[in-house]
Amino acid sequence: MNIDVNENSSKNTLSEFTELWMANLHMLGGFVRLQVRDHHQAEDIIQEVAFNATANFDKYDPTRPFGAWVLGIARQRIAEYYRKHNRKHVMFSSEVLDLLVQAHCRAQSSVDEQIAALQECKAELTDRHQRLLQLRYGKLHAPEEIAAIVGSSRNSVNVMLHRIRMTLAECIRRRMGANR
Amino acid sequence: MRVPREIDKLIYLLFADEISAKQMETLGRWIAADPAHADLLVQLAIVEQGSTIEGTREAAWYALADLAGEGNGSWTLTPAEADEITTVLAEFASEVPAVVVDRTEEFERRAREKEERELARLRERTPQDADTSSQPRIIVIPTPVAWLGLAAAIILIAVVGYQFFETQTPPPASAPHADVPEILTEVAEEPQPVGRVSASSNAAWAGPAPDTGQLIADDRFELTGGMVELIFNDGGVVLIEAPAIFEATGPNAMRLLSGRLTANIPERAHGFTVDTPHLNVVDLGTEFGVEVDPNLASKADVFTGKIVATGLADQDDLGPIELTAGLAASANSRGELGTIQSADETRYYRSLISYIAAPAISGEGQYLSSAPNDVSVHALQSSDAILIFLEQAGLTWLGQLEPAESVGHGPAIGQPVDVFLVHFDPEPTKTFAGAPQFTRQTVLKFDRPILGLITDAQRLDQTDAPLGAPQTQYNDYGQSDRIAISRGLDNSGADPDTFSISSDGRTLTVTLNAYGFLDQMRVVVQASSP
Repeated sequence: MNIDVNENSSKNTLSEFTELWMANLHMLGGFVRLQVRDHHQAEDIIQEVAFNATANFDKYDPTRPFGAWVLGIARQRIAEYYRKHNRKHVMFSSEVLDLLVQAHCRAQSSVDEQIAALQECKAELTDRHQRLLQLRYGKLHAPEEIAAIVGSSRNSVNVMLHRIRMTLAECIRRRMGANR
Repeated sequence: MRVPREIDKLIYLLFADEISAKQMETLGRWIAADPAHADLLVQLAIVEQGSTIEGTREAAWYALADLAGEGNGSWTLTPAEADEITTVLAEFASEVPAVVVDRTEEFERRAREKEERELARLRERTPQDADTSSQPRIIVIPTPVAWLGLAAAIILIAVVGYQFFETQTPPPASAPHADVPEILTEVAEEPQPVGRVSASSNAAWAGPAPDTGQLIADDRFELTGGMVELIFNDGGVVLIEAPAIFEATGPNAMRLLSGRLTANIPERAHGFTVDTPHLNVVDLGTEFGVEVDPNLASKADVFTGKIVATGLADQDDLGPIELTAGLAASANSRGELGTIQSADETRYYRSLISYIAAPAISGEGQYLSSAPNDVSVHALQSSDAILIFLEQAGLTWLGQLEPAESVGHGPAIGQPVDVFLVHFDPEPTKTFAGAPQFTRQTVLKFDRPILGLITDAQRLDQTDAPLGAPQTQYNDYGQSDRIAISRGLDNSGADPDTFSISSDGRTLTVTLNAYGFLDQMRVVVQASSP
């Protein structure tokens, strides 16, 4: 039994793919979530990207960055997803997406460091902010569900989450700067 | 990186999935302007992804459980086929030694648990239909071949995500669909103390009535009378004036649903948050006030340091703004932020003693909750009322009064006293000649003896330093002598300023006539007992 639907793939190929996938998972997930805000929709797309990437892994040129390749697949999947669901979704222009792909690729080399910094930064948050973060991203509650749990409004929750994200991003930058 | 306010708003809208096409264009132009801008977006995405990866793993498990169990889609499997798929997945998982963690038992257990739950639900509804073993189950995959590919992708995400976090997060011990019980557990948790009532004066409550010194947890309180001082666990000190409804929501956070508060936040408690129905305020190291009329608006006034205020509107003009000392912002009933205004510190009690020491005022007088920043000529004008505020409380008397200024025996050396300033500076007062005359009268009734009155301009000047409020600017000595002299009461002419003290020495009646410049007098009374 082989994970890859491509009959020519081997376990070594699978191992190689898995290693690359794992190294780029954060970057890919971030890229998808930036454009697809619904968690479950984002999950669907990440799964489709994984499926597509495994099915076409024999076409991947190993001399090229895997991240850029998989982000290219993700761009197509996202566009197709919105076409298929006929949703009037506001998307970044192609030029801006190019810039975001480049930025994701720039971040790739330090993504593990950034994730480690993120964990430290999260520990600095107040209990309330940590709880909000956990409800949103740990338990995957929608903002309106969180609002019902904490006795607030959806807008208030969204504002707080925005502030928490910005605080964490700033904290990561600060820590990354301090480590250099 | 300093993000402009309008861009911060667009980023907020992007992540709230509420951004319009036009706003997306604007954000796109900003991203294109500097690679660092794109980097910020990526960093925010990493924050989300890094916080969600555990959720990603869970979501993959749910999807897998759906595959092995049932879902909503077009592909129909018999129970035997579904079991076979589960087995195949399990075999597959165990065949990839390098990276895959064997989750066979967990796959099976989750599928079994889900099936048992469904059966239990069916039994409750229609006992005769409880045996569904012969019924086909639905999964979402269009073809068996595609299913294999997608299943592989799902399991890959699951195992990769799991391995990544395996050392950081233990696997869930409970069933995957335990969201509701978890929420209920949270709600049922015993609330933990988040602070305590550190002081109060004449506090009256509707509902929970915490005494001074009592710990408070995440609960709603309605203060119907008096004033309380809360100290939150992280160090923030908050004064709340009745009537007010508030909730202590955390060791560094609260909600003000109506009323007025003053927050004094030490450095260790930076980030203290006040939510209102219209506004969200986050301290950045400061003293600030928040006032809420639940049906109209919320306002935040900054006295020192700075805060970030955010309207809760679902509109384009929503966006955090930073307010520094002396500034204020309001959000209307729709939660939309208005323009930045000057802060009005006199509406807020900045100390409990200012509330405790206040006299009962009648007539055309108004007590200021805290000492204003400036009471020099024309700096604080009001034609409607004589203003009174506490300058110092509990001051040890060292003999600054002239004999003529004493009331009764006057204050004794070493006696604690409270000092108030009576201030009347009506507008318009651009010129002395021809300015309209204003006459206002007020009665100040203290619950303790009045010990002295300073009404002469020169004596007021001389006692500003020892008796005045430390943060208040008094008359500008750089101005003309006439302005300085005009400060005191004028007992001459056709309309003299007058005052009288009741026989018990506790009530002061003041009638002030102002033509163009301010009238002031200083009142020394026995110190109040907190």
